[in-house]
Amino acid sequence: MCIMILSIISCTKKNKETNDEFKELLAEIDNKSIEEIKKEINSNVKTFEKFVSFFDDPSFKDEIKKIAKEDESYGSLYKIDTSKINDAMNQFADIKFQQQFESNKTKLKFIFPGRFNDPVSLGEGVSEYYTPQKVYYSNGKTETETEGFKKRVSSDFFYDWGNAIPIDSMKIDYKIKYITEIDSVTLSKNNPKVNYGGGEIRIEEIKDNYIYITKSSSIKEILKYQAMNDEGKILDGSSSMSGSFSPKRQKKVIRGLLSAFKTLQTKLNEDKFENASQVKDYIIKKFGKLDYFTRSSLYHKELFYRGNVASIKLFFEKESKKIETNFIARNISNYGDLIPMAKAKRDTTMFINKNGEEQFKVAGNYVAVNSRFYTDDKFYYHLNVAQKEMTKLLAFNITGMDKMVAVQQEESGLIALFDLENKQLSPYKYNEIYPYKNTILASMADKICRLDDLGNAKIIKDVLNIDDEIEGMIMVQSEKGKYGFLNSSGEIAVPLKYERTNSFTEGLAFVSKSDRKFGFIDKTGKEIIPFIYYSHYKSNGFENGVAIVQTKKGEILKLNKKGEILN
Amino acid sequence: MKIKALLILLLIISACSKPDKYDLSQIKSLNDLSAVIDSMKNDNVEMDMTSVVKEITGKGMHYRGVPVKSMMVYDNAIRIYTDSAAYSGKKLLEQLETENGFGNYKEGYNNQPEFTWENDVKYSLLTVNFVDGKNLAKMGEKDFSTLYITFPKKYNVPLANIYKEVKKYEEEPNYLLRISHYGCDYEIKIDGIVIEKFYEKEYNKDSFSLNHFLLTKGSHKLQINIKPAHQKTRFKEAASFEAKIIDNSIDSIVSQKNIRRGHLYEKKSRKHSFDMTFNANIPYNNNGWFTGENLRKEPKLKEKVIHLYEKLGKAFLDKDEALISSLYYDMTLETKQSYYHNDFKSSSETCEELLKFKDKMYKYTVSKDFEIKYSDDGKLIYTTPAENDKQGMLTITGKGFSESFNYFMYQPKNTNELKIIRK
Amino acid sequence: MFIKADILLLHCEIIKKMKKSLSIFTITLLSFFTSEAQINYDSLIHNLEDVTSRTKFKVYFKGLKYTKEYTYEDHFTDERFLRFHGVIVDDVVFDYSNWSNDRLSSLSLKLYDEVDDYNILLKKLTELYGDPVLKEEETTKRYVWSSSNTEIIMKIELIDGEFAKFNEFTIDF
Repeated sequence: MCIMILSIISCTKKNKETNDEFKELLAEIDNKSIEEIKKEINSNVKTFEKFVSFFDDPSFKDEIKKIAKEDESYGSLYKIDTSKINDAMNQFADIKFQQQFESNKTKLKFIFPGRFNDPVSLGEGVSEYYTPQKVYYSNGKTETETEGFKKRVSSDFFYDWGNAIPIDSMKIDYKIKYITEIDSVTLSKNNPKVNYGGGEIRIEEIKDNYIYITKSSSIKEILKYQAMNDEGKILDGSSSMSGSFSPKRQKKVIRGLLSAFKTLQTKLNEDKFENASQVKDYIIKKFGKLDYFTRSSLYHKELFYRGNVASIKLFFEKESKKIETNFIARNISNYGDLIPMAKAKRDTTMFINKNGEEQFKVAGNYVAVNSRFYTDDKFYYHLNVAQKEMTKLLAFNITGMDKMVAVQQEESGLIALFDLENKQLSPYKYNEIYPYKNTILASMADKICRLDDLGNAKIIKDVLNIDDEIEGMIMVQSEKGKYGFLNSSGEIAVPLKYERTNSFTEGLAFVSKSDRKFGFIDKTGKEIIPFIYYSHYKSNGFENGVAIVQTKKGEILKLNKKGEILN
Repeated sequence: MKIKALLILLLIISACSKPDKYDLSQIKSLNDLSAVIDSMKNDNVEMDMTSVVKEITGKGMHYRGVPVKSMMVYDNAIRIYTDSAAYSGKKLLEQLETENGFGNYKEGYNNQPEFTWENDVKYSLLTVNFVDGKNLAKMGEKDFSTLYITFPKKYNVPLANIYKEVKKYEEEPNYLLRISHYGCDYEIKIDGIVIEKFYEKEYNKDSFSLNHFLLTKGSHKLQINIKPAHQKTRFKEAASFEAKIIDNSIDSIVSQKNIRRGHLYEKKSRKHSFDMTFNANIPYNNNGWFTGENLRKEPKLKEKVIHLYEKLGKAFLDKDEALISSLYYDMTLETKQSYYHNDFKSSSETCEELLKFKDKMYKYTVSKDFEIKYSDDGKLIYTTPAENDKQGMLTITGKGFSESFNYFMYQPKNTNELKIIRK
Repeated sequence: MFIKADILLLHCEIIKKMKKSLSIFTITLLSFFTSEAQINYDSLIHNLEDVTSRTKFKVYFKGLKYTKEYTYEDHFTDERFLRFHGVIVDDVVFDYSNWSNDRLSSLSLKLYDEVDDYNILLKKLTELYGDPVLKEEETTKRYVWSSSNTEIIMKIELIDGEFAKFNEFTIDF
């Protein structure tokens, strides 16, 4: 039933010439008991009625009216925009996804590098397709996705991804299709009929801000409608409606369908049918005749514009090209042996293992800090696996890492480390903990140290301040104010001897010694480009293999990665 | 005769016109609201209470005579829309001002005028929507208003009802100390009580409210001790200091002192002090610490301080609203009286803030190592933790929540326990 | 439908006495009618041309709820109560930028962009203070009137040479 209603509600539905919908209606009836059918019809008729009442609401549709010249609003020429394709093909260096578990099912949402975690948005005439190819589960198994795989790769919402089994990563195919050549036909009052692509397109009505056209269903999909006023200015669109019926008949056809359903509803409620197959026969007999299921093969489109329409140009795709790539997306969480899954309207949390098998449950709804520490609105907890319960912890803040947590008892207090069994690994002595991708650093009094998984700290000599990790290198500063870099394991890779530094870009960093002469070093500290420059120019490093620097005399030079001058 | 004619006139009018039945201005609590809605249900007034949006659109509602088009109902609030005819927008504003006096006014979202009134029954927010009017001075016939009324939560403790005890006076002086300086660090004492300590201050202009330290009408002494800024040993050449005591209620200066630049430098001193005596014409009488014991003579002072903070911490932990209310009562009443805050909202907000702490915290710590500062007469003390990282004598902690407390205390005569009396 | 409230508005004392001797029915009606507005809005209008450097904001706007925003500036924003030579004023800022003197240093008026208001002000101020000093540019005009103790600056923006909106209106003391 829902399919019926949804298909009517979508005003921009494509034309279907066959009786596919009728077959779908019958398919819905199959395998259902008469009671189930009765229940569904009763609830859906109500929704359907509300929807039909929209047609009676005058504000539902735009008014046909003349727009004054000064009130006209103009749009822009339709152009295919391929400018973002390159960015889109290169955005997949570090794609992650979040996995949620609830009631033995899982949902995924993807995290792209965009400002709102969204992918690069493509221009007009360009479309993209994500197809998951292979899934790598946390338990070591892999699964190759079959053709017609319907799981969605989306950054907006969490979408269903099947049964609750933790996923480590997956391989996804990415395809871009962009239109390389477009075709167009123009219709106007003086030229209301055009033959194209084996069919006919016709203006049925054109008046003031309104135009209504029909197209034979044998013609392919119209890419874009562009209306113009009598001066040839392109008008801004206001609203549009399309369907397989003319506007005049639409109301009648839908009402016809509604009344057929209502009659069926009454008969069902009066128990006029003995079994489901009698219902099916009735439907075949009565519904099969309805206009809704025996429609013509024309596509009808009504459009309203913010101006008075004189002509309309229709664009079609003539030729397109495809390019492909693939990438690996990784789970943002590193799962331990027990993973929380919400159950029973979120009153209970069931712990599952890497195979998705239920292990034990606890009351309440929690967010994981790591595999053994959890939190809700009010408290922090430690998961006591032996007792199968959550132990309340009264700390001000707990930060989770893979194998341990950093606990701060008071806001003004120091931090101590605890292991996954909630055993204290160190005294309360740290000011701050900095978890990086492959190493954990901590600050203590005036020192920075590197922590291992057992909470042992090794002081990194000379380092006073640390910064973000970029391209696997962490910028650090000594007490004397000199800069260097740690590698991603937290070891000194570039000695702390530079007066000024910039972050690494494409493997090289623009640094200077005390004589204020800049050059480029690589990640081992080796000086690759000689220290003869005065400053960088506009960007602080390499972009697409080129860096722009400035000499003391003010000359601006373009360098490649070997230090050769390009301009 | 006149009166008889008026009566007849009224009776005739009453025959022709029927006043709307439901006066929404009479709703004073959520219970009243339920009662009115029930009565409307009985009369089959059109409404939709089943969907997420609860709306009453039927006829018969008015607000002090101004016709109401519809009302939306929320958990603890209602939103009333007037119709856009017959100057309803303008009339509703006038009725609210007649009912509540002039409210607070500001231009809200989309430059729509917003008026607010707050009393112990309800908080009202009126938004005026111009349709054919231009501004409040030129309102149009079609302008309509939206009135959002919230019924605030009522607490059952004495702390919530302090506003009823606060008295209002004809003249309500509000003494403010305004300081403008360059290159100085200073300490302020009022009647021998340190109210501002030396510390590195960023701003060159500062102001301090004095009323809550002024217990009675009469002469009071302000003492200011100045030192060179940034712990230097000598004042800079350009160092200067100006202090003014102002009665902010009438914008007049009560006492002032100006040390011109160069003066402090010439004196070559490492510090400088001066007094400002002024007459405070305050109408109220706060007991404060007036009848307190001299705590310099108290042998167990340290233990008593710890005991009081422990008591407060435990009251938060035990969620004992009555005890929290009694520990803060005197301080809150006297402070609100000294600023003449007799409005419900002020009391309600203070009470709510203090009582909410108990819901956010799950443990407390009391500093055991601290410094005691006495007022000159020894009756009032203030303690600060010795450890640098502790922000207060009592710290309450919850998940991601932390709050610290430091109070002035005194011991009432013939009692054995300290009391919190000021912040 | 309703007879004008003015006719029925008697002094409150008389009505209170009447209320005691009437039936409930008429009492409801009476309170219904007497609940018409009793505030005399016209008497609360403040004519800003009367403000001097000695005017104290709090005293001047006593009885009304005003908005105070910054330490050295007081704002009043209710146009129902603000006029300047008869023209409606949207809001006014009392500026005490030199608070050491406790004197008003300037008044800033925000006016509605009505060409009629502009004409009224131009006419009235010229009448009172003589011809202004005029500085004209392509899209703006700036008038300055000086008197012994004040300076009034009015700056407007033009579109196609005609008045479009007020840019500034300040009275300096």
